[in-house]
Amino acid sequence: MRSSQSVHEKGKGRLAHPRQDATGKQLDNTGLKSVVVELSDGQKFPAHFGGHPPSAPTDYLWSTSWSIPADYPTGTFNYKVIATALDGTPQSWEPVNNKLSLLTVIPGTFEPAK
Amino acid sequence: MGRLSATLRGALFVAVLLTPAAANAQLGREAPLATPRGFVGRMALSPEHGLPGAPVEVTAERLPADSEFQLVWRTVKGGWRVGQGEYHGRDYTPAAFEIAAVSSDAAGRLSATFTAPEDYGFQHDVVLQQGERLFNQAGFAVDMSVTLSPESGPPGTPITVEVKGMGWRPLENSWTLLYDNNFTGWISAVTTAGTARFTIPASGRACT
Repeated sequence: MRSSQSVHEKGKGRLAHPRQDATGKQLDNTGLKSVVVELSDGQKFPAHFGGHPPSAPTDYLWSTSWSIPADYPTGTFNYKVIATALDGTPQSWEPVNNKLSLLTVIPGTFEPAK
Repeated sequence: MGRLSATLRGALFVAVLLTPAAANAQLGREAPLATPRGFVGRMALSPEHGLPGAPVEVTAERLPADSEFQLVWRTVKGGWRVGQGEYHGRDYTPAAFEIAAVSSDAAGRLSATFTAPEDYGFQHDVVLQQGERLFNQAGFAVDMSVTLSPESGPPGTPITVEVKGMGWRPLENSWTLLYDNNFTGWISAVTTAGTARFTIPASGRACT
């Protein structure tokens, strides 16, 4: 997940992008078996490796999107990203365990710019 | 008889006297910080923000029928990270306190009212839980308020300023008192759960 701010209205999507191994080599879809984003409520979303923006990529990363449903609980929101190596070894990443680093869902709707 | 004015604006620094807090005095016993295993049902608060003391209605549906839950207010305990002459900043530890014990009816619905506590301002989670299991949650924002007492008097009159609902997060936790548009002091409420009380003398010329 990537976010420039920690407060999100319902309906807004997000991205995830584990990118490099310990040597700095990019971990694309030939270097990882899977990348999954797991919300604190147990929902899981598989990420896909690709170029962004799709029409004229300037960067390549793992991503997935999820729109916050209108009836989703408001308040603190947590998640983790689980990358699984080709040999099946999982590695997870979570935001720092501090409320300051966690996202917050607020009431309202988000309309993307057209 | 002079007429006084004071304005609070967000930002910077200087010291101010804080009275010991009635931190979380309106909250019940401490509760576990429960975690979800999938949200259950739907929960809403009305209103979604308000001043300390405001009545807040909680409604929920699609819960397990005829079940008891804890309604829990999530907050932090604030303190200073100091020791051996060194200052390492502010320290806020997550905490949860029971607001009420509530029960769902035979249809899995629940309705209750609680009073917004005098606590840190801005966003809090209100959680419906059983022990360590979080069933659902909704956000409630505590609004800030400022009162002056008295609101008028001659130069020299002690003015008691009470601020409630100061936050604990950055950009929410430090405020500046401006008096006649002049910087007068800095306010925070790190260890006092969002409430600060202090006194300044009235100064300046009488207004008509």
